[in-house]
Amino acid sequence: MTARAIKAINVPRMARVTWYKHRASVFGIPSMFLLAAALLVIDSLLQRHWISSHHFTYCLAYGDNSTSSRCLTQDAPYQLGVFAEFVNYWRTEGTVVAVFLLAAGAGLFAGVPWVAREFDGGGFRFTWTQSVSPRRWLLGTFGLLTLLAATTAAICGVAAHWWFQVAQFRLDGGTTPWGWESFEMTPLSMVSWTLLAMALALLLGVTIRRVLPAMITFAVIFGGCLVLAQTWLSTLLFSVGDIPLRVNYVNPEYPSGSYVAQTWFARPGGPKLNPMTVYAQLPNVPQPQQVRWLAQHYLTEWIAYQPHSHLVWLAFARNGILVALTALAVLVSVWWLRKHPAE
Amino acid sequence: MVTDKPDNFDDEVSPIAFYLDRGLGVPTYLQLVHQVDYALRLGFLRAGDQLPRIKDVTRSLAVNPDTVMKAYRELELRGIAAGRPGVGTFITQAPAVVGLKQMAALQKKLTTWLAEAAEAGVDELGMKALFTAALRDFSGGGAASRLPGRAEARREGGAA
Amino acid sequence: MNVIETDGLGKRYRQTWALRDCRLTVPAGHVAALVGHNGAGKTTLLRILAGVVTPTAGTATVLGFTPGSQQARDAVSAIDQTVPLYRHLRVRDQLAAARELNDQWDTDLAIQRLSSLNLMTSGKVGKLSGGQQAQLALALALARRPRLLLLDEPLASLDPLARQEVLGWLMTCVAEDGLSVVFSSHVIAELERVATYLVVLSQGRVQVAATIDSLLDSHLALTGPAADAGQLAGQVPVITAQRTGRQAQVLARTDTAPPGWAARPVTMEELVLGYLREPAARVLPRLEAAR
Repeated sequence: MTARAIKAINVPRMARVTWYKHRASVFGIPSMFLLAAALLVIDSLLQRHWISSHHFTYCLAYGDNSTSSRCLTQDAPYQLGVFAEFVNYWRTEGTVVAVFLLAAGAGLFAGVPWVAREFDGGGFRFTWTQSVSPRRWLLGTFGLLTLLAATTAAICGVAAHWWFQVAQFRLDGGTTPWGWESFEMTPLSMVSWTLLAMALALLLGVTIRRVLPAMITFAVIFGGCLVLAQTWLSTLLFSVGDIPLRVNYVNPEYPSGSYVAQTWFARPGGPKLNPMTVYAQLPNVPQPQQVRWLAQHYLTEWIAYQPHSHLVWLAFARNGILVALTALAVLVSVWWLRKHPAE
Repeated sequence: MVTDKPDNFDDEVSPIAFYLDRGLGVPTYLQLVHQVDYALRLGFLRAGDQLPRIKDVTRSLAVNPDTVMKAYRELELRGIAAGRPGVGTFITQAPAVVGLKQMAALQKKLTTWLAEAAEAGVDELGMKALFTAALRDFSGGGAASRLPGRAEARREGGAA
Repeated sequence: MNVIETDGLGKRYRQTWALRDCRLTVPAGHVAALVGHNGAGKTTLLRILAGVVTPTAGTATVLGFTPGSQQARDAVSAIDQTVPLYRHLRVRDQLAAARELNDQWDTDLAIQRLSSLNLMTSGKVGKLSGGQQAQLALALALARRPRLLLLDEPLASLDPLARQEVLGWLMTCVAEDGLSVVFSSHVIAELERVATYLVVLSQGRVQVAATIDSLLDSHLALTGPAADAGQLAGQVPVITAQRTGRQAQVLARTDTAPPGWAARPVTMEELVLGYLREPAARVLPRLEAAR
């Protein structure tokens, strides 16, 4: 956004109007994110204290890419037993989900009513007859609110990422950097979801113009986006640019921290075969004989994996899609507003 | 209880203030003209006095400024008032007052007519109706120009 | 220069036309009164002119600008029937917000007006009475220093004294700033005093659009024998005729009384009521020109 465009919106004036008119949201949304951040930091400090007082620090390599810790093995049952106290799957998973839904909360309880009530309550008949254009007012005030939300969401994301570094070990069975929790507990993800939530709130508020229907629609659509992102989008995205590798049973080559996007079997020059059908045909014998059986049937096992180095690009891509959707929603809102100013 | 009219605005510049009788059915501007005329005849207004400022009248009576301007224009046409740009509207001369002796003679004639009518059985309302009808005919017909002040109004061909 | 020009203006809501084929020209410098039955389209027309409703058909301009455009919004103030304000704000915040939302703002006028109304600036707008909210809305509308003011019966909630005071203040703004006003009103009694232009809407169409002076000059209230009432229609344009027993009262568009009929000037009330009773009768600008 150029300096001239910002000046045209007249940021200081719109900031003041936002302050007068929407003090609750201006306080509420950032408070929500900052409070969550504070709670996460406190929780993490407690966890880290527990870890160090129980001498597990050297086991968990912070910042490592996998949860396979160096000393938690079946050979050290004492440590496993003590560490079992640390594991608390539901609490941790619940916290992750709660933080993940903060963006949705901002959009649903602050964003949607903000815009829809302007129409529902007739306030637009005042605002639309002042010198400021509806577009300038919406982008100026709602835009400022979104900026505030995104900034505090980023702070919350940093806190969530720091918290998750240790908290991930409380997920029984652990998680990988490719798991949805790792993906979402980052500042980038939290900001992207917050932006999308506010943009969707804007779009639905401007098109539906009644508070309750808009809120319900928001919950459905945004909830759908949240779910789709973890299922369909992840699958699609993680298969982009994956590296095929022929499985070598003697010496598995793919590096740790990778994500196996696909597995299949194939005959030389032949098509990909569904691994399930091949497994069904495999005889129930020890592995070396299974390998021989496969060779006899000219079947080679393949995988396509994403090396760890791809993770950051895929994260950018996924969040970039969210930001692109945000921009689209904003453009459609502005266009709709111009076509249908009021009634 | 007698109170001075509340003075929210600048000091009143005119000795008189206007009022409106909404139920009268007479156009507002004419009511103002008649009130000036009446005040002149009774001596509340004299030559050289300033008429209320247009903006004071519009505010106190909640009346359109055009209406007040129309009234003052009518007074100018009748030769009673004149506007001084930037200052206000002032009375130039009192209307030609008919001589006292002539007034007494006219009143005597009227009394005779009233006695005749009473004898014929006409009551007070009937007398008023007769008089009003006759006056209307007189001012609406060819004899209009004989009434002082009507000549200018007729020439203008109706209100603006 | 016309403050309002509409041509074929129409607005349809679902199946009904709230406004239909509305052709209107209001010259500048007038206080125009908009009169009509409930549901005749007054609110719709005012909302279209304010730029808050998009017309289904036809065009409209205010001060030569498209309603809702930047120039229109700068020069036109509008107060809707619902007296829209930010009700959950305190009065002083509402004032501050209005100031920030407008490029042209007369702070002194706003403050002077509010203090003369004794409005507690720390109270919530929503807690004010209907009349006080209307006064506040009016103060805000005029602090923008508009060239045209559109009012949709906002004085309805004012007590008689407040109404008188507000009208007086409005008339002063008309006198001093050359403000043009278009307001819808049910109070016919004040039309003659306050307004100089009359627009009568009937079933979504314009029935009358003329200056009040020309209307009063061109109409007469005739009284005569009921038997002759039928013939009268052939002699002069009759708007309404009411027969009571042997006498007929007729509102006619003529400036000379036909023989056999007594004439007197018509009052504003009679004129408006007459046209309201007779939706088919019309006084439109092109007829004016023909005369």
